[in-house]
Amino acid sequence: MAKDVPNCGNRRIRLSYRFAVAVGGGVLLTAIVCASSGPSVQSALLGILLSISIGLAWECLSRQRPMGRDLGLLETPFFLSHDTQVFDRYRQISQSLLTVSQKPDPIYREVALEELTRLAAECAEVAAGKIVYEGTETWRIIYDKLLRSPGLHLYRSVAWVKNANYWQDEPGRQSMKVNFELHDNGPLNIERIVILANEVWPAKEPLPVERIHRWIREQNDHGIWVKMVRESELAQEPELIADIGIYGSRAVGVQELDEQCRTVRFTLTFDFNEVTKAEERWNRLSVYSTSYQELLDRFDLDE
Amino acid sequence: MIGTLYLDTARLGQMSPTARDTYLDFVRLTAEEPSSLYFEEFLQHGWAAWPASYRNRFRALESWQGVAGLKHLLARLVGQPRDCRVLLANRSAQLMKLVARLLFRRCRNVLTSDVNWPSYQRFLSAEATRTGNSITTIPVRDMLLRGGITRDELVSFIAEESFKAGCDGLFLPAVSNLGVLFPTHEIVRAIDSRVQLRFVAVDAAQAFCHVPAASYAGSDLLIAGCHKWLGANQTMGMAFCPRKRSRSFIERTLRRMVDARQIDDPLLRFTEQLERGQLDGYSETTNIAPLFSCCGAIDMAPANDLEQEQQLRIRRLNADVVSEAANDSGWMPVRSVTDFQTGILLLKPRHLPRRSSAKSVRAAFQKHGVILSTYDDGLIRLSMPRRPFTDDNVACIRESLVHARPGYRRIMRPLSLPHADPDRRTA
Repeated sequence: MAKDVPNCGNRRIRLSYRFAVAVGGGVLLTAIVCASSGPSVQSALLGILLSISIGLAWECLSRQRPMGRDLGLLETPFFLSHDTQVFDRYRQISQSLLTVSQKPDPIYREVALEELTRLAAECAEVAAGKIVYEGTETWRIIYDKLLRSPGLHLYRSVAWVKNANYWQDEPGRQSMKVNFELHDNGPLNIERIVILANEVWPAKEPLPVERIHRWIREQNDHGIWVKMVRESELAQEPELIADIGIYGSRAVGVQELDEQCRTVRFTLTFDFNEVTKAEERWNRLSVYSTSYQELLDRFDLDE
Repeated sequence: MIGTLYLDTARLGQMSPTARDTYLDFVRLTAEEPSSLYFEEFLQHGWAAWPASYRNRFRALESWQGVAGLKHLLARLVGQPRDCRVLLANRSAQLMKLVARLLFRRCRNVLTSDVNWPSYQRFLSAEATRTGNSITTIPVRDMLLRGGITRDELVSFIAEESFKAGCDGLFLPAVSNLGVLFPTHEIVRAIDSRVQLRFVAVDAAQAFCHVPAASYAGSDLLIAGCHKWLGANQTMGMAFCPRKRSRSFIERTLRRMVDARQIDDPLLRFTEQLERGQLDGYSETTNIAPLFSCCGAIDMAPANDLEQEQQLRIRRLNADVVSEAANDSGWMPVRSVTDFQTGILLLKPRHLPRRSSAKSVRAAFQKHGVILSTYDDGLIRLSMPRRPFTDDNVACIRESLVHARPGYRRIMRPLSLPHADPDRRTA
């Protein structure tokens, strides 16, 4: 627990000799000035001393403000009490832990401890900025919220289309509607790189199979900048093959799909370093991909 | 004004004789039958759809082939096939809103220059701010007007600046309002060879029917007007969508903006409905007169780039003649190298007095039979006609240059010889 953290809470603050010297010097100086100078010089001195005191006090307070990770266990609730929403959860979890602790059954205790360890690991992930959704499409709710969040101007998405079912179900269509709505009217710019399995974009075909082509064309018609690459062309850099979304410089989402293109897992990470890494992957992927516009030009195709 | 030499085409072109005749017959038609069933038939399907009696009464309207027919003719003037999508609007500012939206729905950093038309630039800035994107404006004005830069150097310079700034969109004039020809086609190619441009829009307001269309080809959207070099006089904005790859994007964006009243142009709405044959009957009553003056003016427009090139050569020769006259009359031509020269000539006085207003200089020229554009810094702009100047024309220009020069009167007053040759006197 107790690290050497200065705290003005319940502890008494022991003053050093420096404080006495500074106060004494200040008093002496003020006395001399009061005795020898007019009121304007006195006011000026008073103002200067007061400003220095406020500045120092402010600096001292800001240095003393404790960081979450440096807190002692007993100080944690005091610190959390500033944030009522997190404090509510803290209280609920503490209450549950107390209840668990009071149950004597050894089997229950064993299972409970295992479960709690798992929960602790999950909590640590959440604390590190990582949210995981497994086997559910509910991640699209937070996806929607992120895209609509004020200040987000750029959403870059890498779509890994393993087969023609990709984002063709109802949740997928709803998400595309959100994409179109925000790109058409709002301040959001959407760019997408589509990685296509060879069965979806056969090697000798100028464009992907109709169902996916229609999906790409619709995005292009809305002004979304779409680039495409065959999965086989990324054989040398397999780590680039993934389904990701970069939400400005705020978060990165990674979607894992099964063979039927249903969501197995969606991991959202709110971490600037992860965003930087994802951007770097995006740039590498851009080198391999061709814009849909360029394909239309190359084959003299109408939209 | 009879006997006046009109050299202000860069602002508002003189109405061509064919435009005038077509327009007058249209006015006669509206005076006689402003809204009959025949009128609607005529609007939609053209002169040929009328019965013989009507055709005989309004012969000058023969060139009208309906809105679709007019669009085909306009597409031809910019070297595009019949299926090129053309938009017509009362106000080009409305089309500029569309341009700004299209650019910033697809691009994140649009390259422009300091010779872009300022009000168009404001549309771009507003849209860039709204969408959280940026504009990169490169300074080329001084470089072009000072001379000493070749076409290839300009193209490389712009391509390099675009690459450095990470631009993915482009909006440039094909001919600037100061008469500098911008090789937009080559610029697009040079940039595209390094980084693909997502959307290219070109302002051809000063280029349409003035320089060959090939010089500004390669854009996704081209905006122009029929009231300058085409000689229709009646203001009407036009937009062309030459590249197939962007047509659907443009179409959808336009439809959304019109539906949301973000673009509210009665002529645009009306012509779109008329072309589709789906008049809703509830749209605003529209001034359609510009359609007819435009249609008439096309008869006198150069039919292809070859004719356009010949016309431009004559305009440049005219500019040479005026430059020579200007040199003898106290003016200095402000000309870029031949590569960038057009039918617009800029002159500035050798000595500019402190007090000289654009309005007074313009009035002085008009008094001597020449109409042109003037600026507060003493600069004047003359738009060269498509036919060679006659000797009388040159004499008139020379005289007006001498007498309308800023400060001319003040030099003469102390000598009390108001009609003498100022150059000889000052010498």
